[in-house]
Amino acid sequence: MIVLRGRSGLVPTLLVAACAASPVGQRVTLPAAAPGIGFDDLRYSPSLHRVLVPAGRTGTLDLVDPDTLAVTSIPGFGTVAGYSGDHDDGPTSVDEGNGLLYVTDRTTGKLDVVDPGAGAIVSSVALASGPDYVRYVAATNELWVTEPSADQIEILTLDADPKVAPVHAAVVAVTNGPESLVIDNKRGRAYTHRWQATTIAIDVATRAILSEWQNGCAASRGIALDEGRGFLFASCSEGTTSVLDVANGGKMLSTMARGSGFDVIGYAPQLGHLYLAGSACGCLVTLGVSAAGSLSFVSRVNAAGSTHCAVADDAGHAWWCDQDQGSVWRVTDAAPASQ
Amino acid sequence: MALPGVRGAILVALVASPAAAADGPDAGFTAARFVVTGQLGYAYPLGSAEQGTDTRDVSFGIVPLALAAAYDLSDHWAVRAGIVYAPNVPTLCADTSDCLSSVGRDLSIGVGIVRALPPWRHARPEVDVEVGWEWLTTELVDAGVTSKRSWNGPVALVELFVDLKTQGPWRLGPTIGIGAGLFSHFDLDTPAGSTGGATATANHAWPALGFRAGRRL
Repeated sequence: MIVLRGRSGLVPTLLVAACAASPVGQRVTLPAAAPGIGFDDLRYSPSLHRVLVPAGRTGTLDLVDPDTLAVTSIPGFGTVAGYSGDHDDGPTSVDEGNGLLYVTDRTTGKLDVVDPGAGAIVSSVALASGPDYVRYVAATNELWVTEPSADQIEILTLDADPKVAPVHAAVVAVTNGPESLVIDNKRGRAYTHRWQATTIAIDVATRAILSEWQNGCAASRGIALDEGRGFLFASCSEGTTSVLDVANGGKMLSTMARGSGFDVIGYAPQLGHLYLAGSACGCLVTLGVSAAGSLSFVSRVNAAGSTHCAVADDAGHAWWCDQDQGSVWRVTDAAPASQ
Repeated sequence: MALPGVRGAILVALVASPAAAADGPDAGFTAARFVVTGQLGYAYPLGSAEQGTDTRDVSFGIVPLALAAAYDLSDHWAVRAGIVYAPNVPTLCADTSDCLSSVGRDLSIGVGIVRALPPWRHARPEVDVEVGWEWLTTELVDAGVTSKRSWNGPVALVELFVDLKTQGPWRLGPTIGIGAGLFSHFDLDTPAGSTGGATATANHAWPALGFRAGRRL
């Protein structure tokens, strides 16, 4: 360690900057946290009032109460004893629909239907390839599952009885993708990235690719949607975030680069705030989105270097994952809404 | 944080000069007044490139390769000008090929003064103080697709060089220093287009260690 001496503010400031890396927020340590949990997708369920945390190698879906921070675990998913430092094991993605939760499991290669009231898996189906993200499509009562190792989105139809196991229906080929997935129920579209440079829009009824838009990324990662305002957010590993106007041919409304190492992003429509957790920066960056779709920097707080995922709840909190500590952190967003 | 500290260092060097002048031998001042130097080192990123982005977000450090020329005004004072090219070690890249392609650069030019300090045993230390301009460019290349983030602005450097070879025309020895500045302008070049403008005030610094070789001409 180099020790610098001086009376000016420079040296203390630099030392503080070098050493001040304590994560910010309230930590929620999940069951079986040690030696770490490979998180990926985080979601928030307004109807359950819970943050949904697929807890990777532990084989549980953890539901976190955003007020009390109490954790409820639903077991029965694939388990792996060791922690690889990545997020390739067990349940890693979840979405809500029909009052149920749909969870993809990378260890078993299955999609599981979960009854949150019973706290149990009620049915399962094997997937065509290794899953990444699952999203419920209300308009068609389907589940769309991205399977990047097969360059496809697998589509499963749901029965009138939603507890019955979903049935494979079709695949949509997405070469050099798909990365991330968000459903635009208002416009009947799904949006997903190719790994570099572009985002595609897919008609959920016809399953046809409608458009392909520049997203400003060298390495495409996170996606989020402000359905009401028609803003699609694309975040890049290198730290760039762009706003695309889905109602106007994916026109890029704004681009900003802050932090780096982003992956799964969160968005709070009531605040117009976008949350970006970065591994390379060890930070949680908040960007504001104006009514015109312009991005502005709101704040940056320290996070763990093992973070890469974020989500927003509806109570003014941002959440970020801490893989090495097997935890999620709640950060109160006190900044005014960016409308 | 940067400029007050640099001013302090300059003052230290200036205040020290009378004593140094009184004590200093005339060993180094010869008829050959030009000194050219080359330098290699490592500098660690501290501080912010702009509001919301720390330099360490985009850099594991830089490897400065410096070339400079100095002209002796007296036994103890010289003027100096130099250029530093420093490959940037990227924080993000997927494989060897992309990592090699993602190496950015930090380029700076500067002019300043050199103050010889009193010799200590066989070493002859000196302090360099420079001001100039800095351009930092970081890149991520992913499967051949490139995104660049660049900043530029004024910079100041304070560096201590200890010449361990006090005889003959050659000068060899270690350096320790710190460059500090603020970026006043940014550029963002993405696969979809470019943007740029003024940055919000943020200070950064590069504490550095190196080795310098020079020759009196």
